Amino acid sequence: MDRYQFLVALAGLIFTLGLLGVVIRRNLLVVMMCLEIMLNAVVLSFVTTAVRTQSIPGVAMTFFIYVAASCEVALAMAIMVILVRRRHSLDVGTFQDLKG
Amino acid sequence: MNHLMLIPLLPLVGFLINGLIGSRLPRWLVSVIACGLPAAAFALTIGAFTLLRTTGTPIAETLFTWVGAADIKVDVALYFDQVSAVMCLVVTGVGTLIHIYSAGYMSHDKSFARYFAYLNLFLFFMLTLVLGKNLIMLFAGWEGVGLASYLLIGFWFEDREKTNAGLKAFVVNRVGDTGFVLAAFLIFYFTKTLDFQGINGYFAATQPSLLIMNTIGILLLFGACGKSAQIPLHVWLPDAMAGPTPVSALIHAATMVTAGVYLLSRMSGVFLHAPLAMDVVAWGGALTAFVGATMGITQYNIKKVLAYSTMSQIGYMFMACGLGAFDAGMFHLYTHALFKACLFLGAGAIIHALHGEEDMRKMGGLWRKIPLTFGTFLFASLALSGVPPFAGFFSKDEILWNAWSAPNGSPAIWAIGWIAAGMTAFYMTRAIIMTFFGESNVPEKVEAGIHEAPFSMASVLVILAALSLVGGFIGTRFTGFLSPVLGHPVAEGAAAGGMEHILMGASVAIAACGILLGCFLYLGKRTLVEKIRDAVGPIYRLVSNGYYFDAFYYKVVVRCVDWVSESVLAKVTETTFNFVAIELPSGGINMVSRLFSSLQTGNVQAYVLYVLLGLALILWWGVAHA
Amino acid sequence: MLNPTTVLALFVLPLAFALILPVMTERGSVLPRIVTMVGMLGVLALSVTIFVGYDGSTDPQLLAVNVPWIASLGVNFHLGVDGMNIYLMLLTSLLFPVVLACTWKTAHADKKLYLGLLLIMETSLLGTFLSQNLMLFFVFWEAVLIPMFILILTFGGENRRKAAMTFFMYTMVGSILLLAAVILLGVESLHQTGSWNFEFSTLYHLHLSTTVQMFVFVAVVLACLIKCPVFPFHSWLPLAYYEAPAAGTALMAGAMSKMGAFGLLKLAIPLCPQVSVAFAPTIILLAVISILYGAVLALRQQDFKKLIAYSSLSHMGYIVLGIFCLQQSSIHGSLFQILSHGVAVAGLFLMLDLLEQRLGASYKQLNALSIYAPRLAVTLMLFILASVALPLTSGFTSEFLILFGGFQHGLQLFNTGNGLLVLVCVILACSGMVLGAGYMLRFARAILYGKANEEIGMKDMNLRETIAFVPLLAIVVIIGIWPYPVMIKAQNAVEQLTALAAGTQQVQALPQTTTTLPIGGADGH
Repeated sequence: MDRYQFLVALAGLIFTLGLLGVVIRRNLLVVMMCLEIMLNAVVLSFVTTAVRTQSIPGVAMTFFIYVAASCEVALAMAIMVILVRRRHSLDVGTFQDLKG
Repeated sequence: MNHLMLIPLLPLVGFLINGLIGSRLPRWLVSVIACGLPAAAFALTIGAFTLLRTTGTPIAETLFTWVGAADIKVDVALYFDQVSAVMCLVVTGVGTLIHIYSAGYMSHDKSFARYFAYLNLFLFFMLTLVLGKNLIMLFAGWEGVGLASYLLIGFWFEDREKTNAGLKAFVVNRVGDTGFVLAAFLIFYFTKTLDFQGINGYFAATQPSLLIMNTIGILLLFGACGKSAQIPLHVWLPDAMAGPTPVSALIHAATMVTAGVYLLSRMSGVFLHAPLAMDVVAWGGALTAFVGATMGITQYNIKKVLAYSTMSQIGYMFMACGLGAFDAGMFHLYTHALFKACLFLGAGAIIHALHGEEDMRKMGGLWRKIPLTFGTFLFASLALSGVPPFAGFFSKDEILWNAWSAPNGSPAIWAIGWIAAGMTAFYMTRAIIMTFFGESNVPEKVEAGIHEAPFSMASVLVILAALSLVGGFIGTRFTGFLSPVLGHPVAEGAAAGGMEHILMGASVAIAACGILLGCFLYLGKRTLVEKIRDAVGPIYRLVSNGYYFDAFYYKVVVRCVDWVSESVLAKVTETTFNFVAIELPSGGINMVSRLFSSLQTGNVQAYVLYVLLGLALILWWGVAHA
Repeated sequence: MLNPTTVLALFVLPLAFALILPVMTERGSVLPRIVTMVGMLGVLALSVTIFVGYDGSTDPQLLAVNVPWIASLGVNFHLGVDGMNIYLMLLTSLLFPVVLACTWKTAHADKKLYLGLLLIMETSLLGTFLSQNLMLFFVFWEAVLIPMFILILTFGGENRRKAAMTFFMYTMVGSILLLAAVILLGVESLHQTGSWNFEFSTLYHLHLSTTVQMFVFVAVVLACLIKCPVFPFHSWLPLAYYEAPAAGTALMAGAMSKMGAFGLLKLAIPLCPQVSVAFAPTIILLAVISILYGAVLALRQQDFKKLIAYSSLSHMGYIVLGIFCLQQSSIHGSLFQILSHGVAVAGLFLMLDLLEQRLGASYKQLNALSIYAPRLAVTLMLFILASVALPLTSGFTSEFLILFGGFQHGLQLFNTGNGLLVLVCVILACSGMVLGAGYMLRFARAILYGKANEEIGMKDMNLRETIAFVPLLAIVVIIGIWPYPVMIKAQNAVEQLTALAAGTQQVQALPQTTTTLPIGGADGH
C-alpha cells in the first residue's frame, strides 16, 4: 500500500466518521463539527489526487471548499444562535417541525 | 248506458265527501250521505238486475285502457252477469242496511265521519271486485277491501291490540294475494288475456296440462284462502273482531270474506279442468267447516263464536265449489250473508246494550230486557243451524246433497259436513242460552242501563231476520238464474230423489240433536259441561287455543323473520358489508399513508440516513448491473 | 312550445338562477328563497309543457339542442328529450320545488349556499338525464356528486363528514370504471368510424366485440348498481341517507338513485345487448336479493329514516329486476317505478322532515300522529300505501307490470330450456309484496297510531306544505288509476330497447341452428 492509497483510505475513514457523527450525534454543534470533518475528508482526498496527478484543479478545489465551508459555518452559527434562543436547546430532537 | 260505472262510483263519492270534509259536516248529513249513496247504488243494481233478468245477456262496459303494450293489455272494464248480479245485490243490499244500522250504532263515536268514509270506501272496492271484468280489476278490489278492512279493524287506533289485528289481517291477506298474483300470471302465460270470459273460454277449448291446471287452481285457492279465512290462512279473522261490530257484520261476515267463493266461482272454468285442485278445495273447505265449528264451541266472546262460525260456513261454500256445485256455494253465500249479518248486528245490539261487554259469561237472562234483539237473533241462529224452513236449511242441505252425490263427493266428505252442521246447531244454542237465558251475570251498574236498540238498528235487525226466514225459498229459481254462468256439471239422476230426502232428514235430525244437546248441557246448572271439559283437558286446550295456528305463525314464522332481520342481516351481514366495502379500504389506505408519513420524522439526521441508504441502493444496483 | 329552446331553457334556467344568487347580499331575507323557487317553478312549467306535448312519436330533432363543444374529440353539447328520459325529466323538475317548499322555513334555506347547491344539482341532474352525448353524460354524472357532497358535508347530521366521504368515494369507484368505459367506447368509434365520436346515436351502431362489450357492460353496470344502489353495493346508503339533510336525502333517494336505473337503460343494454342478455339472470338475481334483503332489514328498523332507506333499497331492486327482464311490460313497469318510487320515497323522507321540524329529534318517539295532525297522517298514509303497492296507487301499477313481465319472461326461459333461475327469482320477488306490507304497516302503526299521551302541541300541515305534496300525490294517483296516457309517451323507446334485446336472442339462436344443420345433413346421408 503506497502513501496515496493510504491517504485516500484515511480520507474515507474520516468521511465515514464524520457521517456517523452527523447521523448519530444529538448536539447540533457536534453535528456541525462532524460536517466540517466530512468536508476535510473530501479536501484531503482532493489534495491527495492533486499531488498524485500533479494537477492544479484539485488544489484549486480545496480553496473553493474552504471558502464555501467558512461561509457555511458563519451562516450556520448565526442560524444556530437564533434556534438556541428560541428553543433553549441544542438537541436536534427539538427541531422536528417537519414531522409528518 | 254508463250507469253500471255509477254503482261503485257512488260509494266512492261518499268516501271522498265524508273523508275530506266530513268532520266539518253535521252528523245527520254525514249519515244521510253515507247511507244514501249506497242505497242509490242498490237501486241501480236492482235496475241492472231487472235488465239482466229480462234480456238474459250480461252487461259489459269498458271505461278506458289501464295499461297497454305489445305484451299486455288491460282495460278498466265492468261486467254484470248473473254471478256479479248476486254478489252486487248482496253487497249493496246488506251493505246499505248495515250503513243504516251503523248510523245508530256509532252515533256516540267521535270519529263518526271517518267511520262512514271507510265504510263507503269498502263498498267501492267491494263493488269493483264484484263488477270487474278481468282479474286485475278483481285484484284491485280484492286488495282494496283488504285496505278498508285494515283501516276498519284498527278503527279505534288508540288501542295497540286493535291496530295489531288490522296489521295481521292485511299481512295474512297479502300472503294469499301472492298466490292470486302468481295464478294470474300463470293464466296469462297461456291464455294471453286476463278477462274472465277469455280465460274461461280458452280453458274450455284447450287445457295446457293437468299439472298446470292444478297449479293454477291451487294458487287461486291459496289466494281465496287468505281473503276467506280458510285454513291455513284463517288466523286473522278472529282477531279482526276488534273492529266495530257492524264492520264485522259487513266485511267479516257478509261480503269481503266471501270474496274467495266469488273468485272460485268466477274461475270455475279453470277449476272444472283441475280435478286435483277441486279435491283440495273440497277437502280444505270441509276441514275448515269442521275445525271452525270445533273452535266456535270453545269460545266465550260472542263475536269470536260468530267469527269461527263464519269461517266454518265459508268452509261449506268452498266445499260446494270444490264439488263443482258453484251455484250451491253462491246460494249459501247469499243466505249466509243475510243471517250472519243479522247475527252480528244482533250481537252488536247486545254489546251496545251492555256498553261494550263481549264476554258471554258476563251476560245471561237478557231475553226479557231486549226481546226484539232476542227474537231476531233467534231467527238468524235457527237459519244458521239449518232448521227448516229458515234460509240456511235450504242452502246447507244443497251443499250436503252435493257432497254425497257429486262425482268427486263421497260419504266421508258428507259426514264431515254433517257433523259440522250438528256442531253449528250446538254452539249457536250454547251462545243463545248463555246470552239470553239463565241467571243474569251482568254487573248491576250496567244492568240498569240495558235498553233495546234504537229504531235505526232495530229496523235493520227485523228486516234481516225476516229475510233469514224467507230467503231460502227462492232456491231453485236462484240456481236457475245462475245456470248460464255456472253450469252444474253434476248429472242429477231422478232416481236419487229418495236418497236426497233421506239426507235431508239426516241434516234436520243432526241440527235438532245439536240444539237439544245444547239445551241439555247449558240450561240449568252446567256442571256437566265443566266435567266434560276437565275430562278432555288437552283436547279442550288445543281447540280453545285455535289449534295453536297463531302460536305457530307468531313464534315460528314471524319470530324467525324478525330474528333474521335483527340478528343476522342487521348485525352480521350489514357489518360485514360495511367492513369489506367501507372500513377495509379506508382502513387500508389509512394504514399505508400512516406508514409513509411515519418516515417523515422531521429529524434531519433521519433524512441524511435515507439519502445514504438511497445512495447505497443505487450504487449496489449499479455494481450489480455493471 | 315544443322546440329546442324549451329544452335548452330547461337546462340553463336553474344554472342562471344559481349564478344570480351570489349577487344578492341581503342576509336573512326571503328574497333568495323566492328567486330560487321562481327558477325551479319555471323549470317545472317548462318540463310539464314538454311532458304534456310529447306524445311518444314527436320528432326527436324538435326537442334537441346540439352544439359542438370539443369538436375534435366528437364531444357535443347535445341535450334531447326522448321517451326514455321524459319521466325522469318530469320527476327531477318536480322534486326540486317540492323539496324547497318543504324546507322553506328551516335554517338551511336561509343560506344562499343551500339554495345554490340545489339549483346546481338540478341543472346537473337534468343534464345527466337529457344528454345525448356520452362524454356530456359522464360530465354531468360526475357533476351531480359535487353539490350533493357539499350539501351533506355542510348541512348534514352529526356524522356528516364520514357519510359524505363514504358516499363520494364509493360512487367515485363506479365513476372511474364508467370513465374507462367511456374512453374505450371513444377509441372504438375512432377505429370504426375514423374519428372521435361520443354521440349515443353513433355509439349504438358500433360493432363491439364480445370482449369490449363485456368490459363496457361490467364497468357501466357496476357504476349503475352502486348508484342505485343494489345489493351488495349498498353500504353507503344507510349512512348517507341517514346523515344527509332532509333535502339531500329526498333528492338522493328520489332523483339521484334513478341515475343508476337510467344508466342501465341508456348505456348498458343498448351498448352491449348481447352481453346484457347473457348477464341478465345474474343481475336479476342481485336485484331480487336486493328486494328481499332490504325488505327483511326494514322489518326491524326502529329508526324511521333507516327503515325508509332500506325500503328504498328494496324498491330499487324492483326497478333493476324489471329492466333486466327485458320485456316491454317489465320495462314500462320499471319506468313507472322510477317515477313512483321517486315520488313516494321523497314524499316519505320529506314527511319525516316535517315532523322533525316540528318536534326536533323527539319525533323518533312519536306516535298517534293521526290525533295530533290528521292531515299529515293522511298524507303519510297515502305515501305508505303507494310503497305497499296498493291498487289505485302508482306502486301497484309499476310492481305489477314488473312482476308480470318478469314472470312471463321467466316462464318463457324455463319453457325453452334456459333454466329455472329467473322464474324462481321472480316468484321470490313476489314475496317482497308481503314483506313490504309488513314493514310499511309496522311503520304506520308506530307513527300514526297509538294513544295520545300528552299534548305535544303539534301544528298540522299548513297551506304551503299541503300545496307542496299535492303534485306528488297526484302522480301517485294518476299512475295508479290511468297510467295508459303516460305509458304511450315511452312506448316507442321501450319498443326499440326490447327489439334490440330480442334481436340479440335471435342472433344467439342462429349459430346454434347453423351448427346443427350439418349434423342433421350428415345423418341424412
